[in-house]
Amino acid sequence: MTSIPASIQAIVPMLSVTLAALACMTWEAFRDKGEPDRMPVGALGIVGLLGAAISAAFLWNGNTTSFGVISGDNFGLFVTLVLAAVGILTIMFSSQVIHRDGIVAGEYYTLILFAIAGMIMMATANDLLVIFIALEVLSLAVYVLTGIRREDPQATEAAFKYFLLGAFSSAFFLYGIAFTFGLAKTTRLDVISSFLAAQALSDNPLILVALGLLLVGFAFKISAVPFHMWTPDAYEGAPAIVTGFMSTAVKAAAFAAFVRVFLMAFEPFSADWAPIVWVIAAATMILGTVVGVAQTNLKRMLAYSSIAHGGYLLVGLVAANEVGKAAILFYLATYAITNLAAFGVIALLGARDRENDELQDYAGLWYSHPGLAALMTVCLLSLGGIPPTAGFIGKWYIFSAAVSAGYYGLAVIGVLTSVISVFFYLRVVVMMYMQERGAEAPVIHVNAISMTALTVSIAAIFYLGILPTQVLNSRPSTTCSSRGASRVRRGRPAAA
Amino acid sequence: MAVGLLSISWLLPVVGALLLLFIGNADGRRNGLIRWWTLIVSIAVFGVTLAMWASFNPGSAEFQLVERHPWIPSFGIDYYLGVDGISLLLVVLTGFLTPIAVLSSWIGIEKKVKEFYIFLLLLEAAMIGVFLSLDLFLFYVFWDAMLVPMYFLIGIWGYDQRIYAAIKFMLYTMAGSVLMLIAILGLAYLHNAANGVYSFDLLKLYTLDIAPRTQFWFFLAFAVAFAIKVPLFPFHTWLPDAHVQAPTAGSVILAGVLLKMGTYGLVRFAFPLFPLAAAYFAPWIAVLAVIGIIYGALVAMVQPDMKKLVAYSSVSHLGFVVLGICAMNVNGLQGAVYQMLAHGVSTGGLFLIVGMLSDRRHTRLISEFGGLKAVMPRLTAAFMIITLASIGLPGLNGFIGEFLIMLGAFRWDPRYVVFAGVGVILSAVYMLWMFQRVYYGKVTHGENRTLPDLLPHEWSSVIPLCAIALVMGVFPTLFLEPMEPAVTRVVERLQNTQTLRVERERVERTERFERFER
Amino acid sequence: MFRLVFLTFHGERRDAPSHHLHDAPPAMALALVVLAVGSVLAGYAGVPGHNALGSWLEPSFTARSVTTLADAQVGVAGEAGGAGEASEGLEVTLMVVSSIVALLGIGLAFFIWLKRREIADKAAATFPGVYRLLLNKYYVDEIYDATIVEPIRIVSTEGLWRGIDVNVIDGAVNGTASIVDGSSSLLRRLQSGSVRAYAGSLLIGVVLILGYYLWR
Repeated sequence: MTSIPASIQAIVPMLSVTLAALACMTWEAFRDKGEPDRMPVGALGIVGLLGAAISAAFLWNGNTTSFGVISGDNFGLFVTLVLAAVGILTIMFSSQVIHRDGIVAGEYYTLILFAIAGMIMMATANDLLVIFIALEVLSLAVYVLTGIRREDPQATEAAFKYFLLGAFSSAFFLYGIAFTFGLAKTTRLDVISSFLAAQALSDNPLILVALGLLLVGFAFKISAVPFHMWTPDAYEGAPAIVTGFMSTAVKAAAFAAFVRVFLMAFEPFSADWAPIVWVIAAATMILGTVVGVAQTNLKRMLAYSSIAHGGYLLVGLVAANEVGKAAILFYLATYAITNLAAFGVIALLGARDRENDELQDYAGLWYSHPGLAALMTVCLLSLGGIPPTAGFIGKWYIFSAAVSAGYYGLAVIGVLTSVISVFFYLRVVVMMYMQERGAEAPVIHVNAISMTALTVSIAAIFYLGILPTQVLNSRPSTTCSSRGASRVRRGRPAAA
Repeated sequence: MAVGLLSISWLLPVVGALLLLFIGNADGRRNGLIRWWTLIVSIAVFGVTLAMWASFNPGSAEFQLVERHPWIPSFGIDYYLGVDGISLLLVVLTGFLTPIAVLSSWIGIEKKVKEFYIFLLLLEAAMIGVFLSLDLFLFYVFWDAMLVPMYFLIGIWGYDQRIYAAIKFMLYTMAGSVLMLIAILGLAYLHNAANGVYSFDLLKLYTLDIAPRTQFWFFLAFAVAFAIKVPLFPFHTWLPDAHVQAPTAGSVILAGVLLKMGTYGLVRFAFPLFPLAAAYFAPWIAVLAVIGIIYGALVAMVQPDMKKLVAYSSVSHLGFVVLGICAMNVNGLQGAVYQMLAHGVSTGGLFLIVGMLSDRRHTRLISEFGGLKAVMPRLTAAFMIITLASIGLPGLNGFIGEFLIMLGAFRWDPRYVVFAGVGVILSAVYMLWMFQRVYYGKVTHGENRTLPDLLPHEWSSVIPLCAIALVMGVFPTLFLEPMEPAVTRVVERLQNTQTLRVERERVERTERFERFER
Repeated sequence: MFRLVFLTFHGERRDAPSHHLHDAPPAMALALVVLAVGSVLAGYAGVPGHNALGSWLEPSFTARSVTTLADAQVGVAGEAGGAGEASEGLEVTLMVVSSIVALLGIGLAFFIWLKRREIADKAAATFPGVYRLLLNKYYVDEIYDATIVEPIRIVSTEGLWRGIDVNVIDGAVNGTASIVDGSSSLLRRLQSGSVRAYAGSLLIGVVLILGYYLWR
């Protein structure tokens, strides 16, 4: 990386993905009408994502900054790595799925790659306006991806709802930025942080309004209660693999920005936002799991489960300490891989005319497809947080953050809701293993690429569940100005 | 990195299970190979546990054969194993019962044989891990991981209500244990607050000085998790369902080992970690235990289903164990550990033989049997021995434990013993009554006339059980000796902290008084 | 007891002669001999001063380690042994008395059942009520049955098992599940599918958050 000027090093991962996206778009533009070949486009995407991952690995511990607004700190790079992994796995699963569903490959992969570019930007952005731009880039791509099956009315409806509500919430977010700018005369997070630290004693209501509006914007993107209403519909309407992508990558990027804004810029006001986030986290965990119980459609059920997982991530945010930040990152990684793999299985089991995503469709899966059933089981157990899977370490980390910050109540809500969530994950297991299938099960042939993706995901789930030390010790939560933030915090007790 | 005896004991079944994965058995042609393989692996594990016993120094109260490697160093989590006299015997019991469970499903399991044995071996690994862990995090991992194979064993190979029973088992026990997770995290956090580093090391956490109020809540979290597992009245309703619906091997393991994890947890974690709270709660827990003894016995008495009867009898017997623990003296605790072993053997045996009957007749209702003595005298004799052992006939294993528990409880508070004594009588009532209805009298159902007596694989599982019941009854010292130092250490710890506390309070009171005087 | 002995083995045969009575087969006889010898010997096992059985299981129950504890310095067996020596005289007296009573009983039985059958028949005829009472063992079984066994059985079945266990305790467990299930079906109705409702919920969230900040 030495040949690249230091000032643009931090944007190399983003650049790599964007270039791949542009290449895909060009490929699609010059493609002959009848040309059937699809995977090479995806391969292009994988190359771009690998480039992003490798450059992120090179930048590790480098703490580079580009243009003052994109920071290549470990925090952003870790999320970049997660996003690259999610992107690669998504493309690998898609290799089988989009062909079957008749989705235009060039369009599809281009949108995925642009979305990821936006997400990486969001995760590494150090400026409110850049975050907003990144948010719009990724959102537009995801809106289109939601409705990419144009002939399916449900998909169109879902995309439309998502778009309307997303635009609505973006407006609030923009308002929040405007208020912040009005107060601090800047959109740079580090400057806002020092401005707010100086203001910590003043009880300026405008600061709180700005805080609240930004909170709404983020809460919408991570589908926290009560801003979650779009989620089940959008997740059910989108093709399974897109849902998997949305529920992991979007959440990861949004959380990265959320953490950056609230634990860096607004850290001095954590006493003001923590109670609200506490309530939102509790409501999100409870509603996500409780409503999940009544679902009979697997995609919808996992939609609620992903709402609940957003709640667990919020617990790490409430803790507002280094453990919490590290816990969020680790949880994002485990959740992303697990949830994507689960949706991968759902996508693979679908058929063109029928999605096969009702709970009944999974009856006796173990008898017809023992391998897929076993992989799905591992994913579900990991989502439920049962050792020795990655999900358990993730949950343990999150709750230890809550306990270390003294939030025992939130931790108790968290563990009890995770028991409820185990109930509906087990329902799928019951279906797969303990029910006989009435009709003859359709035989599904999984291609080698998808199978590799599944195997790698499962290996990662066990690896992170049994030997998480490597990842935990890589100091992923370091941010450029985290030292500054903690200094500010130390100066604050007088206010508390 | 040398792999010690303790690691081998839980890794061996895991490796055995993983190797099973590679045996192709789509058409069930290799069922025999799979059965033999599992049997050999489980006997080998038993051998390892015996080797553990052989290299164990019974005179020492310290943890032995310790293995320790850093696991997640940033949180002070270690892969930390060790045995003392209490866990040693429970591990040996696990090693002993698993081959019997394997034999018990020799012909009963015909569907998906390979997967059945994989889950059984994984279950064994997790159970051994629970008993050996000295790191709370590691303990919790094994504790929770154990639920999964059991869930599948009940849910796939169980009887008609199996799904309900499996889900209930899993959720009920999880609901209890997640609160324990919070308490574990809280302990690590307290250690961090006191010493600047996180630690999940049990021995280090023992030395923490925890405020009484914190102890109160943490103890509650631990105790509920364990009380559900025991199961202590009124947390027992998962048990009849799980026991009855599980396949025979599942019931044997469930009754023989799983329930002991609850009482073991009380002895190892809940009581010594929070001695003040333990002293505060012990009388209440003992009341629940005594209620459980009588209640379990009375409900067992009127069950029409043999498996359910034995299941409720476990509630009663485990009540004794908890009572012994609550007494917090050497007799009581020794009796409790002894009773854990004895109950494992005798109730495991009861489920085994009931399973044999239900395999033959596909019913477990007492009224469907009668007069079996004439048809299957050998099975009857075996059942008689196990029944008497379960009742606590002197000379068999049940007597020693119950007697010691009563002795311990008597030294603590004789009132409990009066009621517990009623339970002893009732246990004779329900067991002998069932025995009488099943084996004596005339053969009332024609199908019963042609039932075969013990088959070779059944012999090989029944004989060791009866033999060990007799050995435990006649040579109790063999088992009491190794556990004694460990038990004494637990008791000393409990009593020392309590007397210290009383002493400190007294000093504080007098100081306050003196200040007042001045 | 001795009525049983005398009526079974002594006096004239009262059953039909066609029944072929034989002595015990060797295995059974062996068992009987062992038991007979054992019961005779067992009588001497506990003779004061020669108590061989009293200390058999002692090692298991005296918990050597308890010496470390203040409350348990006196072992059980120790206590029992001490008390035994003090009351040895009493024990011998009791043994003699009970032997005499037993011998008297044997004598009475011998007299009535072997020598003077008619006394027994006459007694039965004179006091029919008493005879029936005795014949039915004072109706003790029936009384137990009616006052203890049946009530316990019924209370256990209907009260403890079906009542408390199934309905109350398990009902609470399943009730928790039903509560979750019920609130689940209730809450899912909020998900109406209408975009306006969704936007409304979003707006309510905004109002709640800002309201909290501005009017707290």
